[in-house]
Amino acid sequence: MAHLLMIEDHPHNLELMTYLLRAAGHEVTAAVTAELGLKAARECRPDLIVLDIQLPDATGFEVLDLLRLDPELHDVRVVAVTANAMVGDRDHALSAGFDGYLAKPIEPATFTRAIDSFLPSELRGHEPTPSWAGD
Amino acid sequence: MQLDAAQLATGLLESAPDAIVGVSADGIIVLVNAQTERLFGYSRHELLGQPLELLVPESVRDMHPKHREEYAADPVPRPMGAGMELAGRRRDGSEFPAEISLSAIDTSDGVIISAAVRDVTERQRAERKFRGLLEAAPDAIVGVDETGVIVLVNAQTERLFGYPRSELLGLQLEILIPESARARHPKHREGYLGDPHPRPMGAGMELAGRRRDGSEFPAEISLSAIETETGLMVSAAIRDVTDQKNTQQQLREQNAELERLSKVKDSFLASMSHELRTPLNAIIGFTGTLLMGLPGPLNGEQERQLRTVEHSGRHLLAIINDILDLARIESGAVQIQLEEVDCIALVDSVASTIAPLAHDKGLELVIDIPAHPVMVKSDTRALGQILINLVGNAVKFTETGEVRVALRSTDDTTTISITDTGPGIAETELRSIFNAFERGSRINSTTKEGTGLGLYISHKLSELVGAQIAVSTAIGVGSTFTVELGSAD
Repeated sequence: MAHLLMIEDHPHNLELMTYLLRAAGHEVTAAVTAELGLKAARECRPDLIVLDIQLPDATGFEVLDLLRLDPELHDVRVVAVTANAMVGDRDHALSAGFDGYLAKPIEPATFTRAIDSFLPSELRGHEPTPSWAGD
Repeated sequence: MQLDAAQLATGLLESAPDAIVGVSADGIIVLVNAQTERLFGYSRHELLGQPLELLVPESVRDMHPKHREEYAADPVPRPMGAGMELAGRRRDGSEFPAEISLSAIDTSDGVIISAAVRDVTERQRAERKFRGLLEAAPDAIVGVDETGVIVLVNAQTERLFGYPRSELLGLQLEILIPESARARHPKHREGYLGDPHPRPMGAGMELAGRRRDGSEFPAEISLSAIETETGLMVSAAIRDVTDQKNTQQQLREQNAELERLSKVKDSFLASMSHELRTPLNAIIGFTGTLLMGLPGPLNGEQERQLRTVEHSGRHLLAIINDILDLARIESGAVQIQLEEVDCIALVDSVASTIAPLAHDKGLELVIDIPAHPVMVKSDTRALGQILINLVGNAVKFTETGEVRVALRSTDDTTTISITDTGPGIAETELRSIFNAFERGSRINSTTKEGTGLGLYISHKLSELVGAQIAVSTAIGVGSTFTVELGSAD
């Protein structure tokens, strides 16, 4: 189980990913702007950040740069999630320094497994289960 | 070695390239040399003792004695008749243009006036030719001396700058240059004189000429230098490049506009992609979580209905992806990168992607590849997309049996054929299946699979990489789609 930070401005996307990751046993903090996201990152030092490329106040690339410049955060794993999914986007993201890249629409049955692949084994969650009550 | 002065003198005289004619004070020829004989066509005994006027054209004979007297009065060595058109008359009556220099020799018998006569027919012809070329030249040719004074112009100079040549000759060159550039120009001239080799002027500088009426025009200028008797003459060939500049400007503007439009198109496609995918995230996502039972268990009917929603959502996503693909191909945004493609690796990769789908349907997916490597020059991504489409189609439209992917190569062509044991395609539909949104009726299943764009996109992509797609089919037996590629040359 890990502490994940989601930086995503679209409420449905945020709800979907947060729901699935909590059902997989992770703790999830959410932020809806780049500024709030960076603040949350500094405060809670997540194990992994899931970052939307298109945010209202910055691009995911800009956020990534700021994270990498911060001495306390520059090692944090960052996965890009984007609805753009044009040819070359994946390569562009990976060469910019993202640890991973996921395209929207996400695949609900395998999303949490995909996120887990970026975590060290001791932090991974389980398959999403309904035992989590949700609210 | 003792030089005999007399022998030497005679030798020099007889070998002189000009005709030397010595004339006494009363105009009688007393001396000639070999060249005189050759030039005028007389033997010397026919000339000696004759009046000089024999060698002078009839038209000027009357005037000539007077010229002789004038010269005799003040016999300074000088060229004769500056500005006059001189001519000599041959024995046969024909005339030739001549250059004559005069000097006087004191002898014990009195003063002998010596004329050196040169036939300048060839030189005049060459000068006329030069003049002709100069005047016919499409560029303005302006020659200036070392002080920058215009000494030569041609007809095009008059036309281009709007001056008659009489107004230009003798003026400083700077009159033809815009006022703004005049101050610097003498320096440029000096610079050129320092190293006067033929070259274009002012590389990188915007050059301009100034007309008589004050208007200016953009110019291209090339410089060269000619040695003349009076020193170095620098010659400038000047061309009005107004039209070229306009065309260049137009092209620049058109290119900028094209780039702008291309960027607009690209960003439009990117936004469309984003806007269309975002709602589908929620649709596919939440039907997924519901079907996973995460918020709670579902009854049978709930599950069934949700599967319908999910299925439609995925179908919509497939259509959107295909349309965006198509839009990118049509707008030229797809960049084909020709490279060496490892066909075996590609076929393997496509097969492993489609294999799960085949196995889910209980179909066999057979790969038939040669033992040796097969390389073609193509675009990996485009080719991969074509194969995914064709193999995916084969699996989609086949209920039982197998889908076989065969790779074959000869010296000139490589083919990848996909054979299925599906229902086959009706003859009447063979041509239209490659059209957009045409699906053909081979599907018997209740759900219509596919977006109707797959083959159309494959067709478009094959055009881009220079491949051909052929179909052969038999109803009730199956179909074979073959992708034909050139070899790796």
